[in-house]
Amino acid sequence: MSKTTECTIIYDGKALSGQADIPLIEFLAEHDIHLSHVCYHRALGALQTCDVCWVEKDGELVRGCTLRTAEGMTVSSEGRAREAQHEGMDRILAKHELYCTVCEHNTGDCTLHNTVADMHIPIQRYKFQRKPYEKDHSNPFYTYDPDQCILCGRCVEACQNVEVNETLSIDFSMEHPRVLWDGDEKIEGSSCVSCGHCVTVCPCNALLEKTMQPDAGPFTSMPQELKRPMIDAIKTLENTIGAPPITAISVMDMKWRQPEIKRTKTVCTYCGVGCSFEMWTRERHILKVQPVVEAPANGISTCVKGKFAWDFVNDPKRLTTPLIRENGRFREASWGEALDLVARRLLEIRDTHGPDSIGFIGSSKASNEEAYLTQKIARLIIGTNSVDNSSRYCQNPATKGLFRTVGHGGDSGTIEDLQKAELVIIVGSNMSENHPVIASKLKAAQKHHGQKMIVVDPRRNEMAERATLFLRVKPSTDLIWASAMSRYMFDHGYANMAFLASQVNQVDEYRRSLEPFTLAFAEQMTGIPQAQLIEAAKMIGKAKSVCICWAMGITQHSHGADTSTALSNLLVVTGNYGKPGTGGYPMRGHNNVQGASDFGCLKNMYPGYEKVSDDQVRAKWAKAWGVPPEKLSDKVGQDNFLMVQDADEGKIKAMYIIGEETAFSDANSTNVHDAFTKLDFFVVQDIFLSRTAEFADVVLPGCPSVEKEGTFVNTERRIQRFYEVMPPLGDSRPDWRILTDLAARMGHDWGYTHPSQIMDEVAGIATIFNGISYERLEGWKSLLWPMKPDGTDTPLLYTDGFHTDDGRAVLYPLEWKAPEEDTDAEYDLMLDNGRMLEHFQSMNQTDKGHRVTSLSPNWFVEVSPELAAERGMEEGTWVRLTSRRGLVEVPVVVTDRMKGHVLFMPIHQGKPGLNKLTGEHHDPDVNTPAYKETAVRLEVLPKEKFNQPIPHGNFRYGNRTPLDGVPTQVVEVKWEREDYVSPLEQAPHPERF
Amino acid sequence: MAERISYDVKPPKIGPDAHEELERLLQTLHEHGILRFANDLAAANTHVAKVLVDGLNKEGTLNAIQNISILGMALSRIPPEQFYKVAFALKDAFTHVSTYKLEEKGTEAPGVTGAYKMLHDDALWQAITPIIEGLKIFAERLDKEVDKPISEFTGKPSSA
Repeated sequence: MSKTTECTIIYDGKALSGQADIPLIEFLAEHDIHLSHVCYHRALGALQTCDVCWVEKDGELVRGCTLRTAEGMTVSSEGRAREAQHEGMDRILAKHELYCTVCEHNTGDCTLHNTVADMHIPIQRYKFQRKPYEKDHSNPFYTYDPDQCILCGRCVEACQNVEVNETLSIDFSMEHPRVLWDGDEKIEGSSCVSCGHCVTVCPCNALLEKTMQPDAGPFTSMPQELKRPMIDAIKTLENTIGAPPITAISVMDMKWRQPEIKRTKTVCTYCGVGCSFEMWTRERHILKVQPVVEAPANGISTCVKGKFAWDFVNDPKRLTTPLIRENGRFREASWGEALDLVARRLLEIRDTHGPDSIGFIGSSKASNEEAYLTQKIARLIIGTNSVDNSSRYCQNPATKGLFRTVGHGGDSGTIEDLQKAELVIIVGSNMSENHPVIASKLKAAQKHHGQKMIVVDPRRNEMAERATLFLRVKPSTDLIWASAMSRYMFDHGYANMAFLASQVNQVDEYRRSLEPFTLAFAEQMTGIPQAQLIEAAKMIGKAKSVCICWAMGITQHSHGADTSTALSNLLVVTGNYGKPGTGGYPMRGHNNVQGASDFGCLKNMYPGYEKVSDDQVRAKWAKAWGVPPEKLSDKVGQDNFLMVQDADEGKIKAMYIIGEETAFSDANSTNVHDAFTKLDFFVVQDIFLSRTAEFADVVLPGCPSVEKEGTFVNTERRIQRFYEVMPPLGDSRPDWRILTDLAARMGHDWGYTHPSQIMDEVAGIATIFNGISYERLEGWKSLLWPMKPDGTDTPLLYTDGFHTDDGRAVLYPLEWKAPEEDTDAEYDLMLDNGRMLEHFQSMNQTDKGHRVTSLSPNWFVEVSPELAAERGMEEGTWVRLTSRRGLVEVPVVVTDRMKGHVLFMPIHQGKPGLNKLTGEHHDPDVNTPAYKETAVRLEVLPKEKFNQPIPHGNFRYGNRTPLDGVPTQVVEVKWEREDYVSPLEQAPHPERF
Repeated sequence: MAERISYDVKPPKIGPDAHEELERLLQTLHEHGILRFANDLAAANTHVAKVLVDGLNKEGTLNAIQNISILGMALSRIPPEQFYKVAFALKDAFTHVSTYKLEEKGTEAPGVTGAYKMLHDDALWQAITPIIEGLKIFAERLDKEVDKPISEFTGKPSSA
């Protein structure tokens, strides 16, 4: 801390020194002084609604939460200020009934309870008065109880300005103000996306997780007919004995709940944002997920899945015993028998058919350590490089584009860099549904800091609605507009020539390759009007810092690697690398799809992106693993896509798949299923009997992240630790332990007893992971690779040059190639597809417990209003979609999210699933299937219409109510009320504000 | 020749460990029927609690609890040294009263002269004056209406 940022203040007559220009409440907390407050929250700031933190400054009463420390500041919390604080709390208690010992929320972090206890309130001044509203149970995940709501506005601020879903509000001009959803009284049917921000920050039990209800405490589950008279009796006693004895009991209750409640840091197991939070459990019961300000990627933010979709952990369908196929059935087996069988058969097949007859698919949801062991077994024990992960289906094209141009296969910077950018371009990414927390950060940057946003997509998603400029692009033509932009930069003086001259190779060659990419050509091919292209180009050219985010809308095409390259080229041309707020950001789809690749589940790379074909690298890994180099194959292996094809052709005899639903997620599922049936031996390691596991000879029950320790890498390249929340269910085992035990049975007893030992091993070999250790990842700490041996990490890449042989970026010339599959007279519609916010992939996790599924239980296809009119379709009309591979029947949703002859289907639901339609055409550079290039024919079926394919209670039908925020728009209305009086006076109707 | 390897000896167990102590405790609790009662109580907790709450909600119970509380509150306001003096003065007075023997002190009335002498008995007046003052305060306090004891006690008004 430098001297200029220090100050000394006088607080209640005592001189206190510390950091200047920070909130007074935080400053005092650092000196172990608690200035009572309820509505103030570190992540939300001063909302000024609770009127509990009054202090006296310069002879005037001011809310302490609004003060920031400065040299010489003199503040008193005594005398009049203390009276005002108590009046503030009394007004709150007129709106909130204290029954803390029988309240689920009295688990230690109830701000209101703890503040009441701290203030030693002798008796509340005003009688508690009910509001004329019922408790709302209509959301599957949380409840709202108006009678307990203190109108502090934390939930509103979190919804409006952190999550920026803009659903919640409080109208203090109402006779009986309450929290409103889209301006109305019911949660269901509003735009609420169940992200849980409001519940996370609620300082009492007004907004409460359903998983906390009713038995979070020993006395909370008693029936209401017992609870009510008990509360009434205590209230009567309180009139005589006062609040302190009652508060003492509730404090004791809070204390005796602590031993049975465990709070464990974990990292989300859904998308690649890498949200970390505390999971609160009692034994195996997950009470709640509680995000914290310290979480490096997300802070207090979560989405519906991270906050609420954990019912799968204790689902009765969890696999808890190894299974062996016998006489056409699965039978339970001991671990010893199952692992012996797997070891024996894999070694037999290796010895009979050669190492390359076995293929491994590591899990993009399992840990880095488990990815490492998967490839170690493949490479060291079996001797093949045929090991891959699901990034093949999604992210490899993006990585290829970055490898070609700047060198590292990961996001250029952090989420903070995305927030800092003057302009963010989102291409082929439905960010608010697929990476909701990053979307929230960008929505906040746009709302509060005027960040500009360009969205390029065939579908008008939420980010498109919010964009400064939305370009609705014809599918599969993104390379064209991106290259046209690059050309425009050169032609109109926006190219960063100094940067290009000093740090970039192949500039002239690249510039020549841009010749065909005129604006006229771009308009003709992409469908984007020239005027919009020019507007976008000027925005990019003029912006001081630009980030481009892209996802499956770019990569799952037959030339996704080229389009990814084109986007990175555009960043290079404009000098948008290596500076804060710049760079390329492929949005990783699974929680550890980045890590699975980083830690070696790739056909051509050891961990840390070290090439298997490089003799020096091979020698290094062979030495570390204690074998001669010849024992390790230098031949690039087969990837997921080719493994399945090879299995179909009989070249691959055995496969080992960990935590991947290949039978559902690989393209053209009919062919995938055929291939699996042809395998001699098939092992699947999973937490459920997935569709893939149904083909297996041996099924090994692994554990979800909450039942083991390990690390994940998020989309930022951020490595974070997760801890064991609860022990493995039944006889399931952590995947790292299964792999360790299996290796031992194959003659390689590595003896790992904890994942940290595996990480230590990687850190000692792979250059980019030198310096990483579990100690350096303790708690909320995280590291962004590449690391240095001294433990320093790299949040922002390319600040000292690029990751290429000569340290210079490369402009990679490209030409446009038509997609492998397009529409024709027979298959006249293009089918786009993607993830929905509330679901995840094959729904193996999100359909458990049925709470998530209740939001959108049905499969459907979205059609444009024009197409609906053209073909005579209405909401719910059944249609048959036929591709060149197969057909499905679904009801339609008519929506202006779509336009023209482009359709959209979610990837999750359906028994055969979307991949009944998709094909094996793929990007030849990376073998990623072109899922997004699926031409279909649509026939209207003469069936009775399906009622509400998307239930009308779904958030997609809501109407947001944007506000600037509580301090500026909500609380001022309260202050203007006639019955709002000074905190030194008694309020006539404190229950109303 | 076998390579030299190290081996850490596991420390021997001395005395019962926590699990063994717990087992003993469980056995004792079982033999004396305490576990059986705890099980019964736990299984019937809702019913038992209902009985308790019903009993608690009776006017007499609530009065009793409040009155005991008032005594507690009054006691909490008396400095211990004062209370000690009064308590032990009362104790001595009780002792004296209980051991008073009429035969030794005589039973005849004081008469007018005796009463006149008592009016001039400084020691007697010193003894009686605090009692008279206390009676005055007591009467004053009885005249004061109390709506809510806790508000009277803390000085903070409340309509709760």
